[in-house]
Amino acid sequence: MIPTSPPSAPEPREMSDAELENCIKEIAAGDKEALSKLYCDTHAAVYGLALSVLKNSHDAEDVMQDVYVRIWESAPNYRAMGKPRAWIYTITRNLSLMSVRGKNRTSLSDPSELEPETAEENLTDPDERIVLENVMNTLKEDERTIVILHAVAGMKHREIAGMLGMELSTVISRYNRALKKLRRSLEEAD
Amino acid sequence: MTNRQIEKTIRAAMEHAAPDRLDDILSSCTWQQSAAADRKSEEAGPAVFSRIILDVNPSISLEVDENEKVLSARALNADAEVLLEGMNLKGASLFETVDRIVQDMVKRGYLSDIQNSILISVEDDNSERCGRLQEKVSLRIEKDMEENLQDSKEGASVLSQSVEEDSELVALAEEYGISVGKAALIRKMLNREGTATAEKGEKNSGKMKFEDLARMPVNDIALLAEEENMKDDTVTYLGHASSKAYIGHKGALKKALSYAGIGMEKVRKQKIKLSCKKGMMVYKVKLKTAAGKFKYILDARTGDMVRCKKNGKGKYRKYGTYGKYGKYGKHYMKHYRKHYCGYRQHPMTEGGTGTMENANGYENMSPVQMPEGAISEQQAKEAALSHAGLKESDTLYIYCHPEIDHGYVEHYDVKFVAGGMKYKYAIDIYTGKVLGRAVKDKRMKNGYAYEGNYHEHTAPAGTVPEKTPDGEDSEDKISAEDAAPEAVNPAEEMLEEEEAFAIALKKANLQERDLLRWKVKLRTKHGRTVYRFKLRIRGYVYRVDVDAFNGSVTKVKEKVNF
Repeated sequence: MIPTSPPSAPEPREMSDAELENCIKEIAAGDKEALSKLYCDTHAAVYGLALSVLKNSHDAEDVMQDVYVRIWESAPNYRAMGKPRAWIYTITRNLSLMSVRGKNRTSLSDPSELEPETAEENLTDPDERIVLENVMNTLKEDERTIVILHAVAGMKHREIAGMLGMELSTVISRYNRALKKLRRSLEEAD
Repeated sequence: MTNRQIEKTIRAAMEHAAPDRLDDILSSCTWQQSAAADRKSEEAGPAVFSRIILDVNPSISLEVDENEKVLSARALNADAEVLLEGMNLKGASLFETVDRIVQDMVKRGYLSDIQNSILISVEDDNSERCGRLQEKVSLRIEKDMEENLQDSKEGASVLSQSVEEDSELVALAEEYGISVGKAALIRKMLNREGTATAEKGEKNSGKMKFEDLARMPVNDIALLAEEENMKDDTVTYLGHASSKAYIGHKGALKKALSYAGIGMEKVRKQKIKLSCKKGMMVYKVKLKTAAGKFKYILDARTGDMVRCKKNGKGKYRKYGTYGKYGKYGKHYMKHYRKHYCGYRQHPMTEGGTGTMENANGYENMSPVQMPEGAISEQQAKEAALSHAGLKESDTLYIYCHPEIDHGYVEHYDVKFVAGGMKYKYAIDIYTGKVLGRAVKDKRMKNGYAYEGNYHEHTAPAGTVPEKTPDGEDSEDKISAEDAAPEAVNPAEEMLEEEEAFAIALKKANLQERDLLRWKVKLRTKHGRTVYRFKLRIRGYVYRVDVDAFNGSVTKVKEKVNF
């Protein structure tokens, strides 16, 4: 019940924000190398964020592809303000939400389509598989998003609050609650 | 598993689960970019030559072509959206557009004799054309305002500037939800203040902050620029900003003297200036007298004392009528910002309004949007006073504001002091029914002297007469039955504090030994008496409300506390 560990700092990012901004500048000039670099740095978080909203690995894959195409298209319009990650993940979130809306509009004729395709099936490590399964099934959508943005994308709580339009305290409490839930369900699974 | 291990595993899982689609992405990018470029060139309409931003509180951005025809009119905040609704300005001439906007702003009360300032910011690559447009538009707006505000003695106050967007400015504008023009004006003012204080050899105390100025209407910013000598050379000022909404320097002096309890003859030296404190317009009054030095900070609208100091070096002393924190206690600033910083959209109201219903000034501005069919604040005050059997003249002070919870107006909170007792009423916003009441004896040092409990609605001897309020013919009049709270079964007994504490602990899933600190208060919420527990454990605070009669838990709230 009582949180024993202090709030953790996000894992250091591989590329700094300035490097990412440079990357986007180069992409705007049509440099595909830069796009590959940006992809390598962010694709896990982009995929995770899309997955957290869509809960379906195929749709998340499609959205991930759309995100990088959108980045390629919109890079010339990007205004450097020191928040390239927020820009990338906002695009991801918006495209994911649009995909959810689009899906809601199209009716499904085949009931088997309702079966979600899970991302954890691709994992070989049992620990990772259990944790991902719990992230997808135990947490609510906003909690999932916050956890992915902090743990995978390496964003700070303050940045997440700014991006999602939430209070900092809300983000922190939801993050802590999410981890508490995860810990509890992992203990039960053991 | 610790938090860190969980995070690490999630990260690894995502890295392994994410498929590699780089090749597909790179192959689709070539096509997409050329297609996008084609689309862009097809969609590109007439070129935008200049951008003109008008700020009062509604902020509007107009884009014009080389012939000064409007290509687009964009609302930059909620008030502007209301203003531009149904207005088709595309293709109209710039002057025609400006005329219509000014006329509408006057009609809706955004521009009036107490609020007569408008800021024009022009953005254009060609500096010559930019200067020309700036001059033309500001003269036209000045003329428009003078025509539309014929009754006003104040005239128009037009501020104009040229703006060059840079990333810092855009970031500031986005952060504070204001236009680039307003952000530029504030930045120039603050730079100017910094240089002025440096020239004087004074330490820049940083009293003006960007966030404070950002939430103010342009009129207040213009007033401060005049008062504090923060006028920047690159901003052109036509006319003077109206200070009619405020009590003025003389009024502030009079108020300060009355708080100090001295006459003008005892004052050796005085200094009064209009300033801003935490987003609130205030008069700072310094008096040097034989009895000592006084410093007052007064609410510029009402003259109410916000802070005072006497001979103190950094320590506030109780002085004056209302003590060190002024009339409404230490929460005055919060109260003020919530209820009187009218132009700002209230964060808790859905959609917010910030619009003025008429041009009568601040008193009539409410940032809180009341639902349809709600009674007025005055009616709520009357309902509370009639329940207490008092008149407004019996009170030392009375104030009323809508209490907002999760974006909805819950009830009116009416607070007043009369006969040495402090009353707090919750009044239903539709019927005027009394939902809850607490009375505190001001002479008691600790705790609230609740009159029995609210359910029994027994009035304290000598404070509330037993007579029922005699009605006047009015549809909104609240009957004695309505005003009286619901009666409860007298057999129902109040829970002991220990019992309630056990319930609260159980609900929050805590053990008593885990608690670092806890406290309990008896409160009335929605007409029910509740024990309000605050239970603090490491990293968290829980608030649990337990009904004092049936032991049901009405609220549990968890908050992170480091």
